Amino acid sequence: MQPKDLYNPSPRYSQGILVEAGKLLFIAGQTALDEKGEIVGKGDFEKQAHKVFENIQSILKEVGASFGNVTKITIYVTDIKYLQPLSAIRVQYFGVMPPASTFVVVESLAHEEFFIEIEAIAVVP
Amino acid sequence: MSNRRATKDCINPKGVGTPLGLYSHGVSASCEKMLFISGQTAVDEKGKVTGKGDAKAQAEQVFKNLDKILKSQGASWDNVLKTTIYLTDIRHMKVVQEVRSKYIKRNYPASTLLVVSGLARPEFLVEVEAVAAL
Repeated sequence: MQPKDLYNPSPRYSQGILVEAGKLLFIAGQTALDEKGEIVGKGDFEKQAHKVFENIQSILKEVGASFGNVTKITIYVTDIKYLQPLSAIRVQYFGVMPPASTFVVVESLAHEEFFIEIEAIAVVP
Repeated sequence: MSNRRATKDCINPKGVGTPLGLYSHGVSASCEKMLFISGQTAVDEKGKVTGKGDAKAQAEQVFKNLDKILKSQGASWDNVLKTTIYLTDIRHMKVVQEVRSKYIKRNYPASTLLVVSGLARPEFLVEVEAVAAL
C-alpha cells in the first residue's frame, strides 16, 4: 500500500504491506554462508548479497513459498556504501510488490567477513 | 481497536520486571489482516529529509508517517503489535520516547530499541518500523 501523502519508494520497497493473516514464516537473518557453512564472496559485497537472497529463496521454497510471499525484510549492512549496490540487487529478486523494509548500518555481524545480513517475514499459503 | 475484527492482548507477566517504558513485554493478537510497515525515517511526502540534526523534529516526522500509513488502512495505534526503534545515538532516546508517547497512549505494543552505526542516509537520526493487526 502507498498513501498518497507519503514518499513513494517503489520499486525498491513498499511503505507498507497489508496481507490476509495466514501462516507466518520467520526467516533467521541470512548471511553469505553456503550449505557447508563456508563464506561465499569474501571481500565481495555483491556476491554476498546474492548468496543471502539465494538462501532466503531456499527457505521460502522449503515451505512452498516465494519472494512474493515476503511481507517484511530487515537489512543489516556493515557500511552505508553498500546501500546503492544493494538497491540494484534487491529489485532482481522482488517483483512488482516488494516487501516493507528497514535498512540499518551496524558495527558488525556474526562473523567479521560478513558485509550483509537479511532477515524476513513471510505470510505463506 | 478501530477495526472490529482484530483483538489484541498486552502481556506483562508477574516475574518479568515492569517494562522500562511505554511498551508491553508481549502482545498476542487474533486478526484477519496484518500490516507490515517499513522503517520510517524523517522523509516528507516529497522525499525530502526534514529536521536535519534535530532528533525531536525527525521523530515527529517519523511518527507522522507511521500514523498516515495506519490511518490509510483504517487502523490506529491500538492495532500496532510491535515497534522497533533504531537510533544513531542513545542520547536521542528521551526525545523519541516523548514523541512516541503522544501517539501511543494505551495498549502498548511490544517494542525493541537499538542504537546502530547508521541508517540509510547519513542525516537520519531515527528510524521506526511497526507491525499491526487489522
